[in-house]
Amino acid sequence: MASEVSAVRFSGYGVALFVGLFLFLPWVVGLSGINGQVPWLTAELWDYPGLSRVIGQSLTVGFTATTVSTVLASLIIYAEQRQPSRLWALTFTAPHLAFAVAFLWLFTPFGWIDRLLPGSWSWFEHQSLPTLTLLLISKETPFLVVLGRQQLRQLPFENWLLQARSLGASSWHSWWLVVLPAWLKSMRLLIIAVAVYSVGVVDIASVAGPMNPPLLGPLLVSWQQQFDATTVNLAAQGFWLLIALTMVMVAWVYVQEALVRKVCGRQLRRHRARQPRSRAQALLGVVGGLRWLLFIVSIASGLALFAMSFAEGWFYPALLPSEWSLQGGIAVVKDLAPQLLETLGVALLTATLVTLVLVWTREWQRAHSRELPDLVFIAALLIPQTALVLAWLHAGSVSYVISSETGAWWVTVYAHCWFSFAFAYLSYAPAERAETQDHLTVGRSLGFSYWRSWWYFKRPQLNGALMYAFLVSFLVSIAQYVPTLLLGQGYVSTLTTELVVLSSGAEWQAPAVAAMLLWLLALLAIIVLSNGIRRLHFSRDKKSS
Amino acid sequence: MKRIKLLAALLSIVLATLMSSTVSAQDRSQPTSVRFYAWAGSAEVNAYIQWASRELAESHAITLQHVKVADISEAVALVLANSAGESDAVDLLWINGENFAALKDADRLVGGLEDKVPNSRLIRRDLDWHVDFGTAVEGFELPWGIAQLQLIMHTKHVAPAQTVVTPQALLELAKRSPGRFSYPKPPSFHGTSWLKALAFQLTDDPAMLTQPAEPATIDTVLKPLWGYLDRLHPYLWHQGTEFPISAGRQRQLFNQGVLDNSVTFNPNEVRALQLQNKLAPDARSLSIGERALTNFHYLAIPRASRRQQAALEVINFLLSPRAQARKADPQGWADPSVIRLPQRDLDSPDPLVASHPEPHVSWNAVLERQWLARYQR
Amino acid sequence: MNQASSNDTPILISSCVLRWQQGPFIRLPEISLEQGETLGVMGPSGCGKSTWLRWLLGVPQPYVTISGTITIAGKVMNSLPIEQRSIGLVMQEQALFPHYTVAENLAFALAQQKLSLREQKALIKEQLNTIGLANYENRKPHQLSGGERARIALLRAALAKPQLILLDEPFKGLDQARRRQVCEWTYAFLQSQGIAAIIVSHEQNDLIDAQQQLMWPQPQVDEEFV
Repeated sequence: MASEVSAVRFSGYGVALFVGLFLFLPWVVGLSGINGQVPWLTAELWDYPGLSRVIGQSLTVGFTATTVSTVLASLIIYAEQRQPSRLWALTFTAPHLAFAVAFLWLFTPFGWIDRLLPGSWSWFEHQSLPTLTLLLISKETPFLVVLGRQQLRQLPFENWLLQARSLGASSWHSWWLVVLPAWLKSMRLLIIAVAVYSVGVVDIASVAGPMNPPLLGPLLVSWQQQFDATTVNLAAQGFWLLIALTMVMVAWVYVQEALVRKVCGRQLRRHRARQPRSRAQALLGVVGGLRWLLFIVSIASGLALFAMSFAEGWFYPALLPSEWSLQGGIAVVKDLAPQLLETLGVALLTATLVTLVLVWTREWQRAHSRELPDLVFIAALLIPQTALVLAWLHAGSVSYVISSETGAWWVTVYAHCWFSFAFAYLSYAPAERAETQDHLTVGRSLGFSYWRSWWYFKRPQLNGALMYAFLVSFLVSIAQYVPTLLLGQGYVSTLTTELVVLSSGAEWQAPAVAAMLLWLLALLAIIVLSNGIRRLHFSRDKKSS
Repeated sequence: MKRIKLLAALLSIVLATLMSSTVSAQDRSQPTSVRFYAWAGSAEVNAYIQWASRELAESHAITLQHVKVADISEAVALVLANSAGESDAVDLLWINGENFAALKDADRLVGGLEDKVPNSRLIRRDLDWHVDFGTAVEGFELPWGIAQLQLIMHTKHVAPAQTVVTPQALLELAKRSPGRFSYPKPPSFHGTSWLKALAFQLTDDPAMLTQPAEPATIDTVLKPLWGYLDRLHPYLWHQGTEFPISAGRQRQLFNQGVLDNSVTFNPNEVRALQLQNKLAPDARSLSIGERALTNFHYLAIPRASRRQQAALEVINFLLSPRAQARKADPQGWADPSVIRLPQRDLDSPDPLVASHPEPHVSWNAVLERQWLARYQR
Repeated sequence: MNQASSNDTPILISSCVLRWQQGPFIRLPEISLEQGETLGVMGPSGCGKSTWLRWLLGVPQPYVTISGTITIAGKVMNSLPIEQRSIGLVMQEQALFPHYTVAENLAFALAQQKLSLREQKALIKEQLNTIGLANYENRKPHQLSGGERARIALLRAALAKPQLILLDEPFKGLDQARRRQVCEWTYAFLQSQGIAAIIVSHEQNDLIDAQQQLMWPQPQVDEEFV
C-alpha cells in the first residue's frame, strides 16, 4: 500500500527529469563532445620528448600518494577509534593550492625555516617529485580520515570487534584482521577518487611538481593552450592517455583492496590473543607525531599566508619583511569582495541543490525498495575532471548555452552540483541506508503526506548526515577550478579561479590574500556546520537519556 | 529559531547572487560595457587596468571589465571555440605571438584597426611593430607596449657600470657559482625568447635567422647554441635538469634567494619593482649581448564581439598620451610607451637598448622542438 | 572437542548488582553452572540483560555500574581483557563477519590452536559435516539462511573452546517453525560440546530446554538513593 502511494508520488516527470538531467545528460553531452572519435595513440605522442618519464612520474605519484595516504588514514582511524581528533579538519579544509604555496615558501631550501634555522627542515626542493608526492599525501590523508570515519560509523565494527575478541583475538588483531578489510571495501570509491585525482593532478603539480618533463596533467593543460596542428593533435591523444592511466589507477585500487583482503584472510588463522604491545605503542606514537606534525605544518602554513598577505619587500635572507602594510592586504581583500560573494553564493546554492537532490534520490530508491549501485551516482569521480569538462566544451550544445552570461552561470552551477553530488552521495547514502523507514511510515499512518512525514519523522534522525552532505558539497564547490574556468567563460570568477590567475605572475601578496580567504571560508563552513552537528548530537543524547 | 535565522541569511545570500547575476546579465544588452581579457598575474597591470576602467567610465561612459586570465590562451580558446557567430564573451584581447597567429589564421579578428583607431597615428615610427613574432600584423592588432628581453641579476655578479652580459660571461659566472642560475623553460614565452636571443648572439651568421628555417641549414645555424647550452647546463640550477616553469616563477625563486638571475621583458621593470618593494634591492637588469630581442604586446578585437565600436574606443583611449604616460609611470606598471610622449622628462633616458630583429616565425617551432628533444628527458 | 577442559570447577557469578545512575538497581541471585549446563535468562527487552551479558564479557558499560565476581575454573575473570576470559559470544544480528567465507569465519576461532593449514581445513570440514552443513566452506554469510547462520555462529564460538558461551537473543528474526528447530539443535549442540551457556531471550519457548532458568528481576529503588 505504502509503496503504491509513493510510487505515484515519485513517478512521472520528476523521475524522468532527474534521470535525464542528472544521470544521463553529462555523459551524453560528453560523448557528443568527443564525437565518437577515439584517436589511436600515434608515434607523434610516443615520440614526444620525455613521454616515458611523464607517464612514469604520473603513475609513481598516483601509486605512492594513493597507497601511502590509504595506509596512513587506516592507521590514524585505528589509533583514534575512541577519541577522533578534530585537528584533521584544519588540513582537510586547506585549499590545495594555498597549502602548496605556503608549504614551499616555508620548507624549501632558502625558505623561511631555512632562514630561521639554517639546514633544518629544508629538505623539499622546488619542482620535485618527492615534494609533490608529500603534499598530495598531506592533503589526501586528512580527506580519507575525515570521510573514512564517516564510512566506519556505518559499519557494525564494534560488534565485530567484540565477536573477534570473544574468539580470543587481541583488539589489535581484531581490528586489522576483521575491521580493516571491510572498511577498505566501504572506502573503495573514495580511494578511487583520490587515485584518479592524484594521477591527473594539475593544480598542485604545476606549483610543486617536476616540470622537465611535467606530469601528464600539467602537460595536457599546456598542450591545450597551444593552437598549432601538432599540439592540438597531441592534446587529443593526451586526453586518452590520461583516461588510460586513470584506468590503471582504478585497477590498482582494486588490487590494493584484494591484497589486503588476501593477507588478512591468510592471517586470520594465526592471530594472537596477546596485544603486540611494542608495535601498538610505536604505532600510536607515530600517529600522534604525525598528527602534531601535520597540525603544526598547517598552522604554520596558515600563518605564512597571513604574513605574506600583509608583507612588503620580503627578500632572502631577511627573516621578516622590510615593511608590514595592513592597508595593502586590506586593499586586496576589498578587490576580492566580488569573488568572495560569488564563491559563497555559488557554493551555498550548490550545497542546497545537492542536498535536496540527494534526499530525493535516496527517498526514491527507498520508496521503490530499489538500490541502484553507488557507481551510478558517483561515476563523475572516475574520470579526470579536465578530460570530462573538455569533452563538454566541445559539444556544440554546451558552447551555445554558455555563450550567454546567464547560460554560463547556470551551467557552471550545474557542473559544481554534479561534481559535489558524487562526494555528498558517498557521505550521505550509508547513513540514510542505516535508517529504517519506520518513523516515516508511522508519520504517514497519522495522515501526513510523504514529504511532511519525512520532514517531521525521518529528517531529525538524519540531521547530522544532511549537514555533513551540505558541508561536503560546499567544500567541493569552493575548490572547483577547471569547470568554473572553462564553463564559466570568464563570467564566473570565484576565489579559486582568481587565486590561479593571481598566481600566474611573480606576485605574492594578492595570491596569499586569495588563498587565505579561501581557507577561512572553508574553515568557517566546517566550524559552523560541525558545531551544528555537535549540538544536534548533544540535544539528542539529552533527550534519549 | 536560531537555525531558521541562519537559513534565512544563507538563502538571502544565494538570492542576492542570483539577482546580481541577472542584473549583470541585463547590463550586457547595453553596448557600453567591454569585456577585456587580459593576463592578471601582476598587481601593477591590474591596477593600471582599474585606472583605465575608471577613466573610461567617466569620460566615455564605457564600463571596462577586466576578465582576468592566467594565460591569454584561455581567451583564444574561447574565441576559437565560438563558431556561433556573435558573442558577448570577449570584446578585447591583450595578445601577441602565437596566440595572435592562431586567431589571425582562423580569421577571428577585426581588421583595419589603424584606420579605425585615430590615435594609432601617434605610434612611434621608429618601432618595427608590423611583424609580431614573424606574423604580419596587417591591421588585426595594434601595439600597446614594448617588450625587450633582459636578464635580472644580483649586483654581486655585476661590475658597477656593466649593462651588458655576453653569453660567454654568463657561462663563466655560472661556473663560478654553480646551481645559482637558470632560465624559464621553453616553450614558455620567456623561455623561447631566451633561446632566440642566445641564438642571435651565438650563431655565425645572424642573417640566417631572419630567413625561414630550412631543414638543410637548421643544424649549422643552431649548432653553436646547442653547444653553448650543453656547456652551460651542468652549472645551472639542478644541473640543468629542471627549469622554472615561467618567468614569474623564476622571479619568485630569485626573490627567495634560490636563484641569482631572472629574466624580464620589461626594460623598466627592475626599477619599478624595486620602487614598489617587489624585487630585491640589489637586482640589476642587463642586456644579453649588445643588441636585445625586442617585440611588442598588442590589443585586438574578436570579430564575434557585439561591442566592437566600444572596444575601438577603448583601444583609442589606451593609445592616448595620457594613458600611455600613465602606463610608463615607474610608480606603476612602467611599461614603455609606444607613442612619443611630449612631456617625457629628459632625466630618464629611453630605457630601450639597440634591438635586433625578431627571428623568422618558423624558428620558434624549431627551437622549441629541438630544445625539448635535447633537454626534456 | 568434548574434552574442552578437564577442570571440573563450575562457573560462578556471585553478588552481582546492576545499578543505574538514577538509582534503580537489580540484585541477581548467585549463578553457578556445571560443564555443559545451560541457563536461560528470561525477561522483557530493555532492562539490562544485554548490558549484563556484555559486562560478563568485559565490555565497559556507560550508564550502568555493575559489580560482582565472575569465577571460571577457579579463576577470577573480572580484571582480564575480553580475549582472555574464555567466554564466547553469539549475537542476534551480524553474528558472522560478513566479508569472510564460512571457512574463514571458523578459522578465526581456531587460531590459538596451532594447527597446520591442512589440519585446520580438515577440522573445519569435519565440524561442518557434524552440524549438517557439509561443503559450506566457501559460502559468504549473506548466502546463508538465518538458521544456517545461527548454527555456524554457535559452531564458531564453540571452536574457540571457551568455558562459557553467551547467547544474546540467538533466535531473533527466525520464523516460528525454524525457530523451534534451531532452538532444539542449539541445546543439543551445547550439550554435546559440554560447554556451559547463558541464553538470554524474551520468549519463554526459547528457554524451556535450559537446565536452569532465571527470571530477570524487576528493578528496585533503594530508599537511600531516593
